[in-house]
Amino acid sequence: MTSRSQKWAPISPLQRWREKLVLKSLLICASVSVFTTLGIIYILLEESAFFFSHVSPLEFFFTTRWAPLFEPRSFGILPLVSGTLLISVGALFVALPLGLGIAIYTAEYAQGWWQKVLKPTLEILAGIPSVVYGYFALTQVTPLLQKIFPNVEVFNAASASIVIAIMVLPTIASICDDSLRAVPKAVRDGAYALGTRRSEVVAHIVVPSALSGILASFILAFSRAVGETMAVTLAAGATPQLTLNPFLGVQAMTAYIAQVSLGDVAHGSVEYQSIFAVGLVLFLMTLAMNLLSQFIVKRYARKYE
Amino acid sequence: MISPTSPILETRNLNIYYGDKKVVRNVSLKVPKRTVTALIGPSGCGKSTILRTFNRMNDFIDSFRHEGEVLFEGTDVYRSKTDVTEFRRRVGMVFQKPNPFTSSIAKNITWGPQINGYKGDLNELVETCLRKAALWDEVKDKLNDSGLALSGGQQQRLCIARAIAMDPEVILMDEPCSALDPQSTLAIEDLIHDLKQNYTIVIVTHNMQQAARVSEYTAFMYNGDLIEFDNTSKIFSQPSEKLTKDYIVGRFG
Amino acid sequence: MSQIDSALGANRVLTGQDMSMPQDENRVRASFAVNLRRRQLKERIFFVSIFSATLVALAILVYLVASIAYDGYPYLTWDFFTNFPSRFANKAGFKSAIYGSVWLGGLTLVFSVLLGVGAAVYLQELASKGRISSLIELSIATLAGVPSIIYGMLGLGIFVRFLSLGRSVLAGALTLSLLIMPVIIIAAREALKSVPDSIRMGAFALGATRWQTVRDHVLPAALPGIATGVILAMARAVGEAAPLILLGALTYVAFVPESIFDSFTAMPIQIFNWTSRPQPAFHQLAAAGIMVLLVFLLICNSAAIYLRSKWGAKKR
Repeated sequence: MTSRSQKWAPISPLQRWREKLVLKSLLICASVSVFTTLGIIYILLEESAFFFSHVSPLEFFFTTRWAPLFEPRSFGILPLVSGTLLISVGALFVALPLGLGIAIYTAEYAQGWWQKVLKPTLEILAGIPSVVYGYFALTQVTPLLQKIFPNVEVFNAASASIVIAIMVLPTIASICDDSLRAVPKAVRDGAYALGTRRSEVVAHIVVPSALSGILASFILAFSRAVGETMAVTLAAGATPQLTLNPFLGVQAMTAYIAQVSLGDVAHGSVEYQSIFAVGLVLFLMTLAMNLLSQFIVKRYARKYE
Repeated sequence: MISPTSPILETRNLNIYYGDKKVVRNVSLKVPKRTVTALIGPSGCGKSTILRTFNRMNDFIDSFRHEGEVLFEGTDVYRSKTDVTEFRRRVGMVFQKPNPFTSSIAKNITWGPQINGYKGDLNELVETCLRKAALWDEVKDKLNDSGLALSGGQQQRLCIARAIAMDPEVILMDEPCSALDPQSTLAIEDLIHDLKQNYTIVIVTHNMQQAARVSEYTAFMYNGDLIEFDNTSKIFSQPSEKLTKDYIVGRFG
Repeated sequence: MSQIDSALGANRVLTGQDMSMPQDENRVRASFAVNLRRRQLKERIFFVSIFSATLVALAILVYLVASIAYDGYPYLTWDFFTNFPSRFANKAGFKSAIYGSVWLGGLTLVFSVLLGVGAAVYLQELASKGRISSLIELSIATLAGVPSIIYGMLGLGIFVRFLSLGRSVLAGALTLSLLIMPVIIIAAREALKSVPDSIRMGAFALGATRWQTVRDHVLPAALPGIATGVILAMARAVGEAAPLILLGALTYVAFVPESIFDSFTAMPIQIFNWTSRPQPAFHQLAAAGIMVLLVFLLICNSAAIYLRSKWGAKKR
């Protein structure tokens, strides 16, 4: 037999080095995500530190007037937080029953062709940018609300809540659908064998089994609602006020940040730094909710043996 | 008895664990050069596991752990300073389910040599290997078609051709015919018969008759132990161990 | 178990009443009949409610698209595409926004694909399970849930100020790339995961290194799935306005970018600007701009759907 393994050279050091180079470059690509996370945390903390050297945290977290750009200045964040929460809770009020209802329908009742219509619909709704929803809120939803309730202001929280509900609807519907489908057929069959009707099986057996996933979807949707900017800026306005009335205009945390960025605020001034302080609160809120949602899924997800 | 020439593959006191489970117990096996050696035994006896240690394909299983030595031409493949890819060039493998690349038939054959710095004529290489694998006549007009366009038996022969292209010393075959129809199986058994003049072949098979047809030496394994290793003719006519006899006769397995 | 017993059982489950005494049999029969009617009614109400939920979703979509088309259609003139924004609604155009989005999109595509696919290949194919990999995966999971405006803050601090890139297309593209990177990584990993392992094993058995195997066999096989993910991520990036506002994308831009260091505007920003104006004519302009944006998104999603069906057919 002719000499083997002389037809090609053994692995050269150059080849080995090239392989290592590729590995290192791709590792750097992957590490960018770590640097991004650290970067976000660093920027938020650094600028907030400056901010809190001028404004006391007590005033920030516990007073109820937010007026950074007017005299007399006041930096109580509670109106912004309440604005965000009012809008987001309102959004979930609408999105929860709708989303869960759609999910129940698609997971338990739907025939093929209707699903073929619903699935793209939800995907399209999810893919529409939030500016568009802001536009829709301002030009269609608010006038509609004003026709029904005459005391609705031009900028109001309800309008923002409604369009944000539409935005997070696909998220809720899709996660709940997955969770419902994950309940094994055997569980359903056991219930049917007792002579129960489909709605009863779904309401009393299937939904409670899928509860952890359903709950997680709600929290995730809430987190997204809290982080939403364009729709609330356009629909809810720029008047920070501590109120539970959805027909009034409020300013969300994200809307404040946008407002300052759009204006001419000097870099390094307290007003400029205030957006980072608000951003920090926003970041921590959404982070906490995302972690909570993951925790719920891990801890309470039913294991079907 | 085993031929006196030095074995090309050898295991010494090999124990293999998947996590805490011991799947190969103290196996010492010598595979002679330029022969066909068959590993037979019931499912789960460890024959595929041992086969895959010869080219370190077990490395890809997280829970894999071993004790003892696995030697290729006298060098321990696990403890040598040589890169594992060099061993894999010289010890080729054909898998149970044919797995040609999705690229063209020609590319299937030339890829291995190319990434290893092959300096010869590629077209010649393709023809030589396909001829050796008894596939040339069937595919010579469609070398640029996808490897997946072939039938199961043809795909497996393509995989054999691909392995041959690397000019290995050993070809390991892990139940190469179990996914094929009887005609393809016979074609491949004929192929093995031709190949053994130039390559050492180790074939794992759960088909005893196949082992009897193609191999010169047979190792019978049961539950991780090497029960008996001898000339095929002896194993199948006058086995020394009762367990071997029971298996051959069909009492279990 | 007799039918009465199972009915009793079911009844107890659902109504909380225990009626297992024999002398109640007739009462049970009667109440069961009443119950049955009530339950049938409840069933119907239940079904109608959840079905209406689906109808609501559909109706909203139709209404949304229809109202925007109705508002915007009159303003979709040739001038709309060739004019710059103006104080006068009948002279205003979308040109700078379209150009800005194209520049931004192209640059973002380059960065995010390099970073995202590279990271996905590393994590899925090349990395050994260790602390570094876990840390990276934790970061990606965290980043996926961060609001987009916070990415704007990061971009402001790092790209605009620290690296002194100013309010440039480059800074915008880098920021958007960071925003969609987690999305691309997750999608690309799924695509890589779906490539059957037998292909890798065949390549390894020939003495190939991990990178050679990925480069020549795994990556090509995963390409349709990766492309789908990239297209969808890009669609999201093009629709983003919040991070760009933070970076200082201008809302009154009467020029098109000529280099990556120029200032810029983008379609969502211009739409936002026009929507914020009180005059209804500007609202209609905004609607026209939205239509352009939505058409672009429609093209992206159709391409992704087409790729997904082709990819699904290839998967074996």
